[in-house]
Amino acid sequence: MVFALIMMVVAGLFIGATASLMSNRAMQASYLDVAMKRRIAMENSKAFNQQFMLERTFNVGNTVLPLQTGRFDNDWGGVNTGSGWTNLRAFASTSLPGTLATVYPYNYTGLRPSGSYLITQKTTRPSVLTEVDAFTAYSFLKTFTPGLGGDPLVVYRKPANAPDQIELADKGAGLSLKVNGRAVIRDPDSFFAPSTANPFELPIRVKSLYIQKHSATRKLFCKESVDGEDIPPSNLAASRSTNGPTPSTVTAADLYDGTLNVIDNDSNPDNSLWHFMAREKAAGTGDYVTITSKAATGISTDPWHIVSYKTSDAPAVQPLFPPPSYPRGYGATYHVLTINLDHPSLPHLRIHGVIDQIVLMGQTGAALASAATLPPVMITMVPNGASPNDFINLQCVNENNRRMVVGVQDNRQTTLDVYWNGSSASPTSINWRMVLINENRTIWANLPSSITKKVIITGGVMTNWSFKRRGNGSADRLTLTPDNNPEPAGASGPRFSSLLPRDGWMENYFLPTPP
Amino acid sequence: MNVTRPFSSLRRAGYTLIEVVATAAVIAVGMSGAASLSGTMMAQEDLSWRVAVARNYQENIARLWQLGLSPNETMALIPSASGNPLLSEVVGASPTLTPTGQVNEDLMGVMEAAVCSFTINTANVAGAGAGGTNQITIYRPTLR
Repeated sequence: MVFALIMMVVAGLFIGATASLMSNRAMQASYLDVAMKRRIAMENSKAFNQQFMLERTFNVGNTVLPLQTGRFDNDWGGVNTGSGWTNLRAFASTSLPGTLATVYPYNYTGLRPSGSYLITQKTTRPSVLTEVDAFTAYSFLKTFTPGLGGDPLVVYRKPANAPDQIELADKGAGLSLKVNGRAVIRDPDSFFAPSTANPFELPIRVKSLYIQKHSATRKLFCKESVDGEDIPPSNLAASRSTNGPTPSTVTAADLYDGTLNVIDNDSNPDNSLWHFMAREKAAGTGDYVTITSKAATGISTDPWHIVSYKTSDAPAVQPLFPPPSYPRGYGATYHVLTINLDHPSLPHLRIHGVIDQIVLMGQTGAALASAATLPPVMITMVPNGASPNDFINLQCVNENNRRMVVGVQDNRQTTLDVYWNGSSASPTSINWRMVLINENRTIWANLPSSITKKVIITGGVMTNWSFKRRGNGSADRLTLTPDNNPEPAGASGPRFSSLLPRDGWMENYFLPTPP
Repeated sequence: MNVTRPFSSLRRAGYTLIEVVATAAVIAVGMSGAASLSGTMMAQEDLSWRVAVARNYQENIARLWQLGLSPNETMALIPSASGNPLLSEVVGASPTLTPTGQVNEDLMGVMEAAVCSFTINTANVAGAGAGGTNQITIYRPTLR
């Protein structure tokens, strides 16, 4: 009897414990709905923050009022603007992570190689959403010049009036160039004509490849620069990137469509070479000159001068670097603008398309090393209104170590031939320091005739149209490499990076508030 | 010599039939109660398991869609109940992911919205009994 009673007590305890456990399990199951809704609401809020920030923060001078609340129906998430912001200008930021007063526990480098200028803004959980956990969503608005940050080749969306596809090599001509860093493709569609094979191999050699968006029917790949193996894109998915608004920007999506407009963009003066020049002049940190006339002026020791050649005088009197077939087909006179890049008083230049040829005179010997500390210079070569652009020939003479950004632009896809001449310190390479920005021109890089001689462009190329080369040999005969020392010791003038157009992107750090 | 057995020793000799029957009845009632409770608990635990699987399944659909996949891509990635005995026990009706268009709540951002529905099977036979349907509303940015 006693045994039976003990057994009953034990069984009772067991049943009681099991009932209690099952009861808790049932309660836990009943809370699953609530817990899932809280998690989904957080994810919805995170997505809301991203959309809200991307729609506003890279526009020019935008203002957001404080304590504005956006809230999904039935409390499925929302954001609050917190303290808001006034006249936010992401592309005008000069704050570097190391100079920020507030230290955030985040990755200062982020999605792109190297550091960047940045601004932080944040949203929070609306206080009325008591069924959603509290959070703070930090948005790091980063901007930097690709060529200073490990991306020496960036190919943007092709111009709206472009007739066909972007080319990085002549059809059937093999390799075009080597990228000593990351190649960035903003708009893969710009490489595809209806007959283009899918996938399409870019005729370049790279260390890594970054593609802004992906399409199953328009895939891009290329080969690695060391071993020649196929290299897939290094990013999935990509973060949205922009140069800022342009005159064609209507919707928020337009802002991130991969357009390049940084040479003369009234819609975003914070990211436009043309406007940088005005800014520097107003600040007293650098003057500029606008060249709208092809009339001869100046002498060879000036920072720049123009010489007009009568084509009828050739070959007795002709340009130092005559273009192909000169003088046939070049009109009565041929106008040459020579720019002395080692001249310490060289102003920034706005050159209209009235000049036939521009000669960039570099440096040799001791002047080559010392040119690194000269003030950086901006040169824009823009069309002459709606007229056809006369400027079709660019000569790079000797080597260049001066920090320089050159922006060439046209309203159609006029060809621009670039040549390298003169002497170089090494018999096998020409080092040419330059950030080249190409808007709507077909650029041909004509390599030296010696197949053992390379051209190395330090600073890189930002282009929205074809950039090709003439000259046999391996890909590295034309090498693009980042400028890893844009602010050398003893450099004079403003910071080089402050004179360069930037790409902007956002990185989000969504932090639930600890209980 | 008369030897008389004490009365008490006679009483210790055993239980009466009534006592035994009563005790057996009490134990029987207890055992049947325990068995019934156990059955209910098992059913409750089974339902809890189904709810847990269903919510996990539903949340995964939501997260995949929020990552940027289309509804078809999302549903293709999610395990199907077809040929999956365990999942078949949970799914009462095929889960759905239905985009509901764009919203611009308080003019603060154009978002894509969708509704994900899941109906739990409440019967012992796979897919035979449709219980309550749970709907969640999910959003993702149009800029992504």
